[in-house]
Amino acid sequence: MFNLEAAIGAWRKSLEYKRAIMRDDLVELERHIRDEVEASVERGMSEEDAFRTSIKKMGLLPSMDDEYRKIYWSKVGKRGRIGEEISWRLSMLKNYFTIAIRLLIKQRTYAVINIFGLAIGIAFCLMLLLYVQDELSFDSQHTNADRIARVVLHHNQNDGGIRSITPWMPYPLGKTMESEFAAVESAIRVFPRQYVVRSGEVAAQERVMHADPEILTAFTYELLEGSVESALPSPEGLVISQRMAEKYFGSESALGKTLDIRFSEDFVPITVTGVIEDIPSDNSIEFDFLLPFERLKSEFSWIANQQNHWNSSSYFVYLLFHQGTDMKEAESLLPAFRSKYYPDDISSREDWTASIPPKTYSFQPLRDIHLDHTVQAGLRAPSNPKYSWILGAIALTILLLACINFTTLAIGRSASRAREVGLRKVVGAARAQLIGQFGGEAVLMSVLGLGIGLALIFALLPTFNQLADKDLSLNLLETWAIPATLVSLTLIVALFSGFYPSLVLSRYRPTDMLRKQSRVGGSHFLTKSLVLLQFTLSVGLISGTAIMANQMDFLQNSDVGYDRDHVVLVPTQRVDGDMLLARFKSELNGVSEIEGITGMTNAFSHGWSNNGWDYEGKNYAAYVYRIESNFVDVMGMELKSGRSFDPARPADSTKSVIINEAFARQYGWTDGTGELVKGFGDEPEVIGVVRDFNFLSLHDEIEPMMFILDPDWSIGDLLFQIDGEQIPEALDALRATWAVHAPNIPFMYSFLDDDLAEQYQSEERWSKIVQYAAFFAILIACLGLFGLASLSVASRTKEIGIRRVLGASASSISAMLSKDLVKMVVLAIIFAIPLTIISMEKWLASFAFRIEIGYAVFILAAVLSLGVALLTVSFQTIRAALSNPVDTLRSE
Amino acid sequence: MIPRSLVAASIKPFVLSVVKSGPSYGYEIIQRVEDLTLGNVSWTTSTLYPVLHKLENEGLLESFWQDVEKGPARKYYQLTAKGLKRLEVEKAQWMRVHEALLSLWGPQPSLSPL
Repeated sequence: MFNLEAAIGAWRKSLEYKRAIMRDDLVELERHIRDEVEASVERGMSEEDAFRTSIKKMGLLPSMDDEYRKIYWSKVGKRGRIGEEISWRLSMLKNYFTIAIRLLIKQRTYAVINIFGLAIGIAFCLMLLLYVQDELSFDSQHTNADRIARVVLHHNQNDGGIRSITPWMPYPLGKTMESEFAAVESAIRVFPRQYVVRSGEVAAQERVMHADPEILTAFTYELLEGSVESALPSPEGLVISQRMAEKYFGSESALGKTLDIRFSEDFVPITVTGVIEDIPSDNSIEFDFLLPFERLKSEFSWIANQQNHWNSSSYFVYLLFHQGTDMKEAESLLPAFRSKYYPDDISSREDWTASIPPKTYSFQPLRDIHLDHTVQAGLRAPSNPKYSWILGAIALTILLLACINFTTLAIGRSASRAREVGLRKVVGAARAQLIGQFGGEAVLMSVLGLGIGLALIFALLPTFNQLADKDLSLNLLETWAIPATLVSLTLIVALFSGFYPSLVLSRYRPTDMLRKQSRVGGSHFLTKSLVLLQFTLSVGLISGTAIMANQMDFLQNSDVGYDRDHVVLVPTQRVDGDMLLARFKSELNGVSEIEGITGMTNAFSHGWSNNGWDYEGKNYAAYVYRIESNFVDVMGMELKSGRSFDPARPADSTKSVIINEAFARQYGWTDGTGELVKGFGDEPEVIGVVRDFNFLSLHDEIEPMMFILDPDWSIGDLLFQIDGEQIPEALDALRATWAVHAPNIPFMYSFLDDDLAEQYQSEERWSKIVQYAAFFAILIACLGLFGLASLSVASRTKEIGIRRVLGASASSISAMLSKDLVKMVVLAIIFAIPLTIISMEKWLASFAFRIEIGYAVFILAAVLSLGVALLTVSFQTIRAALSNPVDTLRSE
Repeated sequence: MIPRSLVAASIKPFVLSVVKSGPSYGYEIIQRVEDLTLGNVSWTTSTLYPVLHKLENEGLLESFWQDVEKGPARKYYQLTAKGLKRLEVEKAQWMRVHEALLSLWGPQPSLSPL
């Protein structure tokens, strides 16, 4: 028997949990049904039919819910339900959180993989951020930074291009600009030197900077003792850094104490007039000792001679402009300035055709100095922004790999959550709510990842600082930028990794989910593509790392054309080199651990002198080294023709040169021995030709080079070929001899091969960074793979059981489970090869001497990635294959 | 039968016009409109009530509850001053469309040869 009250009660119950339909609304609807039923019954319908018709006319429940939902939010405010709404939201949030935490604990493996991966990704991104922030903030401590510029000289080419830009200026230029340009407040001339500094027992060679005293006021420095206005009286003042004050005077106040500085022959006592805070590493001008620029001319006669010389450029000039000056506008004065002091610039170049003059000045803003590597290195080598890009690419790659793990694993696990989604939907969850829930889980993961990432940063930063030659620190509270970036990074990571899975999960229809164990999951294609991308990046990183390592190895070990192993280099430190060489030779002659003694102006790694001259309208240039006559033999160079220098022939020291093959090519000689070097000096005769050897960095081609014996060029470096078996003994012998002939001056030495390796320091450093990155990238990719493999095994438990029952062997099941993976890796290798070749060719192009990319590295990468991948999944597959089919088949 | 789109479009002017003559409730409004249109315009419950709530939230209608002898109370809607103004606008709009259609359908000679 139909009972209207019971029917209405049941109907009301079915709507009660719909949040969009509020209690009043339900009353209103019930009244409606009752009115309608009453009216129908009056017309003669049965109660049951009347009720059913009324319900039917109400429309389908989902569409009704939708209609009410559209206006839900405007009603919350109007009907005073905000408090209720908030408490409901909070309780839902609590529920989501509980579920998320339960999942984390229940599915520990995936949680660990995800959080760990995200942590590494976030840590790398943060390091990148710190690195870039440091690069961009160079010289920003100076409040006048926007008003300071360095004067640089453009060496233009005949075709209008620029051959080079140099920062060295002649002695008078700075003060002339200061007096001639109204816009310039002061000019600061800077000249870096190396002197031996002594205080009692402590003595060492130090980098000392000469500069005009205005440097202390134009730039912003913190003085610990003395004041910026008076700390550097000219010419007798001396400002030292805090760390040097500690080094020479310990904890005592340094002000008023005396340091001995050896400018040339003798030590000169100088009183400390100021102590400056250590200059942070993000400064393009660094110094520990500051002496007045004016002191130079009284200490060095050759500098005194340059006071009015415009043709010798050794000094850096920084200009402080008046407030409100437009530097670009001020540059318009420079062409006239140039032609005023160099009237011969153009007239001396008959062949000049370009509309711009051969040499032009420009002002380089202080803050641009660090990142502009087109200007030759001044006080400090500029940084190549390329490395910021490399680091950025690495950091994003790692973060991407971690996000991919999150996405693929979440989709892979979605089957296990299908029922939860189904149930939530049935009891009224809207899709947006589900997306919010799963998105929230991604945020939770990212926040946990962030926490661990921060811990990782503190652990990894010292290593990274060492690798990148930086002094970075993570100070969370220093600027708002870092916490802001952390928050946005976390949200971005959550969005990237959680967005797609939450779309997939929320899309499920409750009927499908609850009715049967349906095969659910995101697009299989997408998961596969993402894993493929991971592998491609990993293979690329492995092969890239291998190529970089090979090139570094090549640089260190390739035959440069002379002996560089077991060669000790001793700089003469402006003690008479010829005298020292003669003493060393006579005293160490016949000592077994010293096999050869020679010397030259500057060791190949210590500098060079590039000379140019004209002959018959053609320009010639060569690197010129003054050597000791036995140099070619001691250094094991190969003479292609002719002979070496002979000390018995006096003419050799003035009229003879030895050249390299590149020099002969420059003059168009087939051999060269016996020819005269026309246009150079007294036109000396070529007595021998050495086979081309790498005297510059392997980044550069071999240039024309000339050895001379001219005693007017002094010897700056002594070279000792020593016995590799007796290195300590040899060094002791050298130190003892040095102490006799150059007392008071600390003995300094280095090994030639170390010196040469230093030329490739930045390459070495970046090759290491890429190695670390590759390691972490592969680790993350493998973790992801491990997770995926276990998921795929789990979803095929029954299939494996049935196959076992039907007689499949454990090995054939392992093979079946690994087959997809192998396909994936092979595809990844195919994709990775061209990518790697393109990017590594770009890097290798910066070396004149380089390896060719061979197929071996790709085989290595293939074997390695396949091996690691198989190892990762084999654990899962073998366990599955060996399991008892009875257990697996019962597993429901 | 009148197409759904037209039924949906006319719901607002219908509701406002019905309540203009005095407070009314959902079931009554549906009945009135069904009677007037001879059953051609008939809204489902789930269409009408959200519209009533929306108009109420916009301030065009206001509502009050009235006890009924038996069963739950009844929610009445009545026109506000703002609603009255809106009704005038709606009316003008409908009339404009209506007049334009009439002038096309009326017994007028066609200007262009067919």
